[in-house]
Amino acid sequence: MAKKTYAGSRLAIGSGAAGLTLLAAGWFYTHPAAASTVPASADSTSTATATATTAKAPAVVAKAKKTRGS
Amino acid sequence: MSTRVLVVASLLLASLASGLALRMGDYGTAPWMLSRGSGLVAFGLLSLSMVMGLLISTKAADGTLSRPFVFTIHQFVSVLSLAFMAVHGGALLFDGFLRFGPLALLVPFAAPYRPFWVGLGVIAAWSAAAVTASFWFRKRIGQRNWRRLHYASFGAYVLALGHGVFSGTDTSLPLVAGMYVISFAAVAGLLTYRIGVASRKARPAPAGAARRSGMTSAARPRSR
Repeated sequence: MAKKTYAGSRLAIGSGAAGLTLLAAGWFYTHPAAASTVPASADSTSTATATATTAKAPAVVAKAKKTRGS
Repeated sequence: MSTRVLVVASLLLASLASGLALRMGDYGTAPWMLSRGSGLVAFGLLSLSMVMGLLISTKAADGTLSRPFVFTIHQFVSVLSLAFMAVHGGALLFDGFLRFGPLALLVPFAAPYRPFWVGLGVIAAWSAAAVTASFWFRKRIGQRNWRRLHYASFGAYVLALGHGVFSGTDTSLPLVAGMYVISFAAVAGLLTYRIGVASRKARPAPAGAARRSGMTSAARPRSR
């Protein structure tokens, strides 16, 4: 008897995982709250984001956010 | 043999060259979003793999799911999790904001962003890769060594959880935080159950039980 490979289950899990990844990436891309989670202390631009946020300088925040694209 | 090596080497060189060429492009925030999405899915798959592995060792699903099915899916999900870890790290190579290089992805604590927590993720990925690779070397390394190596998966899971919680930018999202909590509860619960099962097995049968099962005093295990 041939060994069962459970190809259907594997295909379902694989495509489900790929779909979830694209769904999550798309949601992060479009959702404004999620897109604002810019990593801090990555480089000088994000340091500028942190500094500007505390100093409440909208121009610098806008510039820093533009770099990240959020 | 030599043809296969040549093909693999050419494929590696081609992917390296195309990767370097692609890194010159500007992809905006797409690599960052892809990295976040695939990282979360990779952790979900790692959790599923852990749960299925624990279901095998505790025999908790024996009445519900067939053993070959659980084993096949456990192995498949482990490999799939590694593939998503590769996408998670690989996508960062194309992110113009964080500037991750290949070394930062392969060497622990060499990352430009949250080096400690990202470093834990790198170690987790290497450990998971070693444990997954051992599926194919089980006969060669022996059952006992394979089992010992498999214990490293618990370390990989804890490191991946730490990496996700502390270097991930989405931990504050309720859905993501919920996934971490559910995953940890499932793995910790099954592990506790497994330790309970193992300690019950290790304990010698009580004298009454031995008498009931028809064992003579000579055949009964001595308590001292």
